[in-house]
This record gives sequence, C-alpha cells and structure tokens, in this order.
Amino acid sequence: MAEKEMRVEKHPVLGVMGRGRRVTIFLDGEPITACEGEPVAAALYAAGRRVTRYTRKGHEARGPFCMIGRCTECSMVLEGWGMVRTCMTPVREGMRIWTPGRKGG
Amino acid sequence: MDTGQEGRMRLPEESCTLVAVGAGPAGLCAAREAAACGVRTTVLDENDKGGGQLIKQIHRFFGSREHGAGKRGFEIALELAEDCANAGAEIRLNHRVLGFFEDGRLLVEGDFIYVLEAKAVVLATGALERSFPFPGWTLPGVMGAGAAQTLVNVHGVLPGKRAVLVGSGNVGLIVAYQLLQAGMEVVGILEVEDRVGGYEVHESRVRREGVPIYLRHRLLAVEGLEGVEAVLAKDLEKGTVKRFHADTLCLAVGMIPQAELASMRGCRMVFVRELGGFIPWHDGDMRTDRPGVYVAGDAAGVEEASIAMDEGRLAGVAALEDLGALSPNEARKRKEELKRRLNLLRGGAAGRPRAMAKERLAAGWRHR
Amino acid sequence: MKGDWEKVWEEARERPVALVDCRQEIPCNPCEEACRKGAIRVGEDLCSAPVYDPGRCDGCGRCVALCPGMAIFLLDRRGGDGQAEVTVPWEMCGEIVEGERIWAVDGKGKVLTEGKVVKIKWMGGRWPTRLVTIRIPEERALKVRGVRFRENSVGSSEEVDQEYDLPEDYPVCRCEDVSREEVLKFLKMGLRSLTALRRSSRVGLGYCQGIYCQEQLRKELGMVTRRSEEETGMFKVRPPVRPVKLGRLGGVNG
Ligand SMILES: Cc1cc2nc3c(=O)[nH]c(=O)nc-3n(C[C@H](O)[C@H](O)[C@H](O)COP(=O)(O)OP(=O)(O)OC[C@H]3O[C@@H](n4cnc5c(N)ncnc54)[C@H](O)[C@@H]3O)c2cc1C
Ligand code: SF4
Ligand code: SF4
Ligand code: FES
Repeated sequence: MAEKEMRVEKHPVLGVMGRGRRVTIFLDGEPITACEGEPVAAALYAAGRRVTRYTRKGHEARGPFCMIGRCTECSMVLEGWGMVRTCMTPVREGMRIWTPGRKGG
Repeated sequence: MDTGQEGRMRLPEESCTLVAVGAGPAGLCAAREAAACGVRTTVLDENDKGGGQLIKQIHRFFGSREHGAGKRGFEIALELAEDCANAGAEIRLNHRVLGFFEDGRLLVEGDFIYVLEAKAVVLATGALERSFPFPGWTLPGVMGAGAAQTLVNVHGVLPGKRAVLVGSGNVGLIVAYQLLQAGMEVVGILEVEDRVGGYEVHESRVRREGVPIYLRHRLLAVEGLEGVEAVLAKDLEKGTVKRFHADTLCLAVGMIPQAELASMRGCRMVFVRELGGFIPWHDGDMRTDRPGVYVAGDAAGVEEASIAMDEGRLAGVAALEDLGALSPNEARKRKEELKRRLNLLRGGAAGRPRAMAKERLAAGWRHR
Repeated sequence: MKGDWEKVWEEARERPVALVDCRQEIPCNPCEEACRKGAIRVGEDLCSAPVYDPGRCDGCGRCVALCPGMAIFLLDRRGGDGQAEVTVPWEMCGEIVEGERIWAVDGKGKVLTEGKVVKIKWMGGRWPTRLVTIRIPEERALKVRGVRFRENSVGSSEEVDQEYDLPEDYPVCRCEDVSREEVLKFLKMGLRSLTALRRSSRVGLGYCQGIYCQEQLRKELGMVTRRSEEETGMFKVRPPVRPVKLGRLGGVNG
C-alpha cells in the first residue's frame, strides 16, 4: 500500500475527475482506501490489486476482464451478501470483501 | 410477492406500449421517436448511466450534425438521454432484462424482478468485445480494450503502467490514444495483418506520440505469475519472437453483436461476417421476423454510433407505423430520409461491405 | 493535394491558414460545419474527403479544434524570417507551457526538429482542445503533424530464443475453467455440436452463458465437421441472461 495510487490525477480532456468521499474498505481483512461509489474492482485497481479470485481447479489468479458485468471474472465475496461482480458493485464505507479461493485466507 | 394457483411465485406485472432494451444511441433514438409521437415508452438499461458505449468515449465523433459530430462521445450521450427524456420517455437505469419469452413478455430485474409486457420491443443491446483464448489470456491484466477504457475514462483509474494493445482497428487506435491521455505508457500495438486496420487519421494520432505499430506480428502468449509481466509476439516476416515488458494487455480485436434476447424470443438468427457474427434477421425497416420485435444499432450488426442513432430512429418509426401511431405516408417519408442518411454513412470504403450485407438482409438473406 | 499545399504555403505569408490532411473516405463533416468562411466543403456525400480552399480561410482555428481526426493544422509564415509558426491540436497528459522547448513530429511520429511553444489556446465546446503553436524553421513546417515531449518512442522489446516453447494447454472457457485439451478430447470422442460439448465438458455453462468461448468453439467444431458458422449455430440461451442472486428467480414461468 506504500505505492502511489493508480489514479488519473488530472486528465487533459476531463480535467480533475469527480470522485466520491474517501473511505476504507477491507480486502481479506486488510484496509484499503477507496472512493465511495466507484466500483469495487476499480478501487482495487487503484490500490494496485488486480487479483479478484483464484480458480478452483488450478488455483490460478484471475482479474477483471470486461468491466461491464459480463464475464464474471471479477466475482468476489461481499460479507453479509454473497458473491458479487465487483465491477458492478459500488464501494460503501467499511465493506468487507474476500478473494474466493485464496489460500490461507 | 404472492403465490399463484400453480404454486409458482407470481411476479408483479406491468405494461407499456413501446420498450427499448438498451439506452445506447440506438435505444435512446428509437425511444425518442416513439415518445415524441405520444406513445408510452420505456427504456431499460442495466447500466447506471444512459448512453451505452458512448459514456466511455472522450474523443470527438465522426458523423454529421444529426449525429452530434465534432462533439465528444459522452457529451453526445448526455444530449441523447436528455432529448429522449424531454420527449416523454421513461428511462429506467439499473434495470436489466433477464429474459424475453416467446409470448413477447420481458423479464426485468430492477429493485425487484417483474414482468413487462409491450406491444413493440426494440432490442438495442449493443455489442460485446470479442476475445480469443491464448496462453496466459486468463491472467489479471489481460482485458478488453473497452474494459481499460472504462477504467480510465469513467472511473479515472489506471489499469497498469505499461500496456500492449492487440489490434490496430479504430478501437485499438483510439483506446491506445486514450491510455496515453490518462498517463499510461503504450509499448506498442500488435497487428497480424500487413497494414493498419483503422483510419489513417487515427493511426497518425498514435504514431505522433511515438507509439510503434508492429505489423505482421502475432500475439503468442502472455507471461506472468499473478498478473501480466510480459507479452510475447511472433514477427511473421522474420520468424523471430519478441518479448515486450508490460503489465497490461488490451484486446481490441472486434465486437460481437449481442442479441441473446432475440434468439431467446425465437427470432431467426443469421450469421453475417461483415456485421460481426450472429444477428437477428431484419428487414430494411429494422423489423425482425417476429411481430412487434425490432432491432437496431450494434445488436443488428456492429457499425458506428452515428449509424446506431439512425437505425434506432428507423426502428422507432417502423414500430410507430405498425402500432398505427403514424400514417403510412408520414412513416414512408421519415423512413426514406433515414435510409438516405444511412446510405451516406455507409458510403466509404469501410462502410460499403456493410451496406451490401444490409441490402442482402433486406432482400431476404439466402445462403450463398 | 500537392497543389493545395503550395497554395497554403503562399497564403501563409499573409495570414495563418489551415492545412487539411484528410484523404480517406470517412463519414464525417465537422470541418465543414466549423468553418464560417466556407473554406472547407464535404458536401452531400458525407464520405467524400474534404475539399479545401486556402484562399477563403482566415485562420480562425475552429476546424483545428473540432476535427475528430485531429487532421487539421495552421501554418503562419508572416514573420518572413525563415521561421514559421505551426499550430497543432493537443490533448495529451502532462502540462505544456509557453516558452518550453518541444519536439515537432511528422505524421509517422518521426522527429523533424525542436521548436519553442509560443502560444496555447483552448478551443472547441465545453470540453475544449488545446491549440498549441510552435515556432520552427520554415522548411520543416509543412510536414508537422504533432508535438511531443519525448524524443524517442517508448516501444521496447527484446528478441527471444527462436525455439521458444509455447504452453500448449490453456483455458478456453473462463468461467468453468475448461481447457483447450479437454475440448479437443471431446471432439476426438466424436462430439459434434455446441450442445453436446456443453453438456459433457461444461464449456459455456458458466455465468457468462458462453459469450466469450463460443466463437472459438465454433471454429474448432467447424474444422472437424466442415460446417459453416451459421450451420453450427449458437448456444441456446436461457433466462436469466445475467447472473441473479440465487433465490430471486424462484418459480418463474418461462
Ligand atoms: C473504443 C470505441 C470507439 C468508438 N468510436 C466511435 C466513433 O468515433 N464514432 C462512432 O460513430 N462510433 C464509435 N464507436 C462505436 C459506437 O460506440 C457504437 O457503435 C454504438 O455505441 C452502438 O450503439 P448501440 O446503441 O447499438 O449499443 P451500445 O452503445 O453498446 O448500448 C447498448 C446498451 O444496452 C444495454 N444492455 C445490453 N443488454 C442489456 C440487457 N439485457 N438489459 C438491459 N440493458 C442491456 C447496455 O448496458 C448498453 O448500455 C466506438 C466504439 C468503441 C468500443
Ligand atoms: S481555420 Fe477557420 S476559416 Fe480556416 S478553414 Fe478552419 S474554420 Fe475555416
Ligand atoms: S472533420 Fe477532420 S476527419 Fe472529418 S472529414 Fe473533416 S478533416 Fe476529415
Ligand atoms: S469484470 Fe467482467 S463481470 Fe466484472
């Protein structure tokens, strides 16, 4: 988390991009800074996290592929709800998400 | 929800005169035509914003005045949605259509699941990014070019630091440029053919930024442990293999019309290579072979936003005509004007094969 | 086109004039709409290339900002001192400031010369484009199509051992994690349709409903059956076409 966030600071066409309030969410128990309302998958990317799940068969890492809710590669477990497509799930303060198939998790 | 006699759960039901599925340029334009004529119209889209593909496009668009040319994609999206709402259509965002049954009813999920019945349904569900399997394609960091575009332009988040793009069509060129705009490095664009697929003007834009386009290079594989670390491509001229250091690979290898709903409804599906794959058969007025079902935009063949708008308008007019809301004379006049514009839009070298495919469809489409 | 540019070159001695570099059949005419002087014409046939008359251009720059192809530039040789001012549309990231030195490049991205930024102007609607004017030696001016900070391109690659071994197996279906080898195995066993493949290997049975794998499967099937894509057909789609939280779909009659 020491790394710089992967966010567009100032865009040559869009200017300073409007973002939601800074909040904390938890990925496998670890706090991550996110912006309220952005998709969870985008927040993970901004924090430099690209793995959203591990496959059952080969324990291979997978990450978001379509960003529009079609491929389901970004599916993660949202505590208190169940499996969600994180590219379509907006960030809420304090939400806890878990990486399916993660070893030792 | 109460339980019906057969022990099945009874879903809430609703009805409306015209429904457009998809709030992209095609759906919005179809709905606007209908609503402006006083017909009760609803637009459904699963996205939380109206405009379809356009909301992630930050470049200025081709076309002419009727298509908002010279304006940026998201700007056109805002205007179309506003126009449509002002005409009196109800736009329901975050409403996904789950099913379209042979009896003509739509199954929709909004805050709850309900059934929607309509006299006319315009399917304007757009297209899906094409991809193909290769070693490493499931690694995090491999994504559709549109996915990368959504990340940078809609969410303001970078997918990585260094990207390789696959495909030098207009989408690949435009997305490469937009990744640069957002501050990413673009290591190169791979193209198997011996020439660039997109327009010269788009090619020149990325070349000016120093992005190399590797012609006759085939993507072989992506390497990495828990994400993309390198991209391998074969130089088909020299027979050698090149390794590019990158953390992101974007696939821009075309779009596939998305018309599952039409096939579920029982519409006749035909395979038209020039238009991207399987599409519902439709006549020159965008009618499918099922009564009251119309199709428009990328779902009726992958083309351009300007074409999607005019096809949407055409589908709207055809539906109005069939509903008896427009006199045959008025309908004919409007349809002629729209078809004239569509012909002009498909007039260039890139558009002619698509124009011919559409003509063959209108003529009935037999196997060659 | 050549003659055109000679005229641009001459007119640019008097005032800034546009240089239109758009030759393909693009369904597009904002340049014509932008010009209040009637200097650019596309006409009824939207796909024809623009016809431009430098004699009518007053160098206002509107077309430069609005051309979606970023294919129009301005040339100004009024100084008459062997230097020219060239204006290009610019939408790149990073800050660009007056007085700064920058590379001028041609349409292929080749560096032509180094120049100085003399003017920056925003133009073109609510989300405008920057028009960047640079001063460079006159003889290069007609070729300039862009500016950039870096001299060299960022592309970098290394050659790999010729005998590079490709992994042979990889997933075809992302959702159900079905590998290519498995699919080939079922094809060898004699399965000949999408439905049969789906039933035995679970390929295409995932939440995405086979939208990503089915093209590849049609291709593999086509190779053994010699059937066309249309004959092979599509996966049969069932509702829901999008994943729904279990239980919400209870007993739908469909
Ligand atoms: C990178 C890129 C650049 C482009 N540049 C240009 C350009 O410069 N000029 C140009 O003319 N065109 C351009 N296009 C093409 C243009 O964006 C499309 O042709 C156009 O958006 C198609 O419009 P549409 O209405 O058919 O579909 P879309 O815009 O794709 O809209 C379809 C909508 O349907 C919704 N939907 C789908 N299924 C369902 C469902 N089951 N339930 C509810 N809603 C659903 C989707 O959420 C979506 O909003 C570009 C495309 C891309 C990818
Ligand atoms: S610079 Fe102005 S006057 Fe000249 S062609 Fe462009 S829009 Fe017309
Ligand atoms: S606006 Fe630009 S891209 Fe379009 S026709 Fe005119 S010069 Fe060509
Ligand atoms: S990234 Fe494809 S469903 Fe979320």
